[in-house]
Amino acid sequence: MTSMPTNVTGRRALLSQLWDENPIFRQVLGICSALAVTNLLLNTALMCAGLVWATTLSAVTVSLVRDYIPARVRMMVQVLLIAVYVIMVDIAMRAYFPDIHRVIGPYVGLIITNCIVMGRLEAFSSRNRPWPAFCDALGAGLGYSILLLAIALVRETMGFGTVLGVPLPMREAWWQPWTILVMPPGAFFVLAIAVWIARGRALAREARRAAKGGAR
Amino acid sequence: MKINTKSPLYVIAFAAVTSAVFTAGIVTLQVATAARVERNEKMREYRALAALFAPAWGLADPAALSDQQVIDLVDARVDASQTVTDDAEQPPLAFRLYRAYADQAHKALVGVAIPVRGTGFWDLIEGRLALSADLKEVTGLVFINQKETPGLGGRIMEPAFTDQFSKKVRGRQGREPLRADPPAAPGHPFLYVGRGSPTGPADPRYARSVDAITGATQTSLAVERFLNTDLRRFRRAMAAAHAAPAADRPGGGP
Amino acid sequence: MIAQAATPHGMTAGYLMLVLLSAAFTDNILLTRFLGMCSFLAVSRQIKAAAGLGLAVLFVTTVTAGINAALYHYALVPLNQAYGVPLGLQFIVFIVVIAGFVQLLEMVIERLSLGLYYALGIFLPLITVNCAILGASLFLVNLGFGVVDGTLFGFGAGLGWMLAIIAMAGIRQKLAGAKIPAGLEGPGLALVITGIMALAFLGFSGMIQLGR
Repeated sequence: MTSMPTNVTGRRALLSQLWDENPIFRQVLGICSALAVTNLLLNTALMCAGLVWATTLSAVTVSLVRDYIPARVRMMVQVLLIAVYVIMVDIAMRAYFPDIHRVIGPYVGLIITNCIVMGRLEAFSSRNRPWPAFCDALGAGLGYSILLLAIALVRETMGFGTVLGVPLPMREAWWQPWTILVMPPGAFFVLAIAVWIARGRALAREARRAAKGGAR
Repeated sequence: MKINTKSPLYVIAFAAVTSAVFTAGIVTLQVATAARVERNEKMREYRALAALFAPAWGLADPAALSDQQVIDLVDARVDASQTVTDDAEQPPLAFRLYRAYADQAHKALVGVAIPVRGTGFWDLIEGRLALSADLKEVTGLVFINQKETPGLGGRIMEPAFTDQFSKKVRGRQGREPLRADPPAAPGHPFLYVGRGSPTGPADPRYARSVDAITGATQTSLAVERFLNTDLRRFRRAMAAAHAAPAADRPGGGP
Repeated sequence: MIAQAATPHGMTAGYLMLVLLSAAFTDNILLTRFLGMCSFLAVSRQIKAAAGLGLAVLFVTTVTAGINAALYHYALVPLNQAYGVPLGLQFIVFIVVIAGFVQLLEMVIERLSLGLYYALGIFLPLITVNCAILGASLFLVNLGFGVVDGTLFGFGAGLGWMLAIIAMAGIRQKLAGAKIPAGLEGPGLALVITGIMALAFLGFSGMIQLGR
């Protein structure tokens, strides 16, 4: 289990989660939802919002009570916390925004069991103060969102020929539906390419830094 | 006060208290919004019925009506009090009959709708299937609940899929309405989803076939499966009840 | 060639076989429903670690499926009928049961095999939120299974997950010597391989249909 120093500043935590320790292509977390939700840009945006909400709130809460949670039941408590925050929103949506709920409803489970949320709680929030924990969680959520929105853009345009539900201009003339991209196996390939590009750039950056001899 | 977080008593107490507090919170929230959620569900069903019977009632755009207008319309013209049950197979299956009349007098029957439901790829799919008054044709299909993959199986809610069942839309395209009477050969399905186009009038798929959703194989298969099961069991339930709605109310009589 | 079985059903050997086959193969929780991906991609470099995690997931899935099925049928449903306790609680109940059980498992593994404990790293507590395990419990409720067929379904799902991760580890171990672009190395390649496996499993779509 990774153990981070307990004096990491908020800014550093946020920035590292955004790219260097990006949850998707570095830590390999949050993949299930990345596959399921990225066939439509709108759903992806809502999912990312839901994830940022769940991660930040539970990170702050766990960090606040980290000294009081008994080690033996920490996972139960953490998972309960995450579930409560997400289900709260789910219930509110179901009552007051049924149209959005119809879109995001199937994904509620994917937010609660998203490895990113639990992963950051275990690795960071349970050992750090609330403000760094919040920044770390926000960074993880944003890092996740950036990559997912990029993937969704590709999948929706090539699979459905629309962006946010709006058809591309003059698509009858030049666009052919590439349905496999809309189905989950297609998600694997687009995600693999995204990971390839992102990781390639991150590794190149690290190599440049190491060559300069600077500390990270 | 230094708390010993390792003592068994503390562990149990902590776990019990947090579980109780959180569960109570969720339950409270759920109960508080229950009325609102129920109203949303009710509106979804009412709007589905309005959309299904709009052609028969001569309504051009049921979606433009306000919630209260839809409630008044459906309450006046639809009688949902009767249920027929098929218990030839276990478990017994009950169908609530939504009988739509031309007006409040409930004399001229214009159509019947039944609930259709089954397990899709992820969770239960539920809809309403509208049949003609003589139960021989499908006049429309609307889904009111599903949790299929958005963008794939979830597209069964879209008009692109459900219009294939609409008698009015098919008529505009020069196609016959889908048949809901028992197939010529016993054991054959009532309806085919994504089984190819019929080759001619003698093909068992003729006037019984719709396209599936590309990429949503499981959902399309599930829809085919439960539509056929429900149609089959519904006909048996009607026969058992000896109550063909059109038999005792020819359209237009006093 | 489509096999169909509707529940409740006599607990015939044929029916149970269908449940097992559908859970493990034609409706493989990893390659058909794409649940449980994170640990699958991260821990599948070596067969030993993969087998260890696979067995852990198999164990947790089977036992929690059984417990959750029993809780659902003998506690949640009666409570719902008697006092109107909302069935939506099943989500929280299931996941808390899983979390508690994984905590237990973590203690056991730490005691029995320290090597495995460190090899699994963060992915041991992440079994808690392995969507495949929660998914198995939720599906068995959706498909209307009882306790016996529900546990068998959980076993099948876990088995399918385990077989997939071991297959993946085997492939990746073989590829360890190949020349791969630096950026694709690791999760990138794993995703490509999984994509190809998933395409293959598309062929099983709808072969066995359970539920109403």
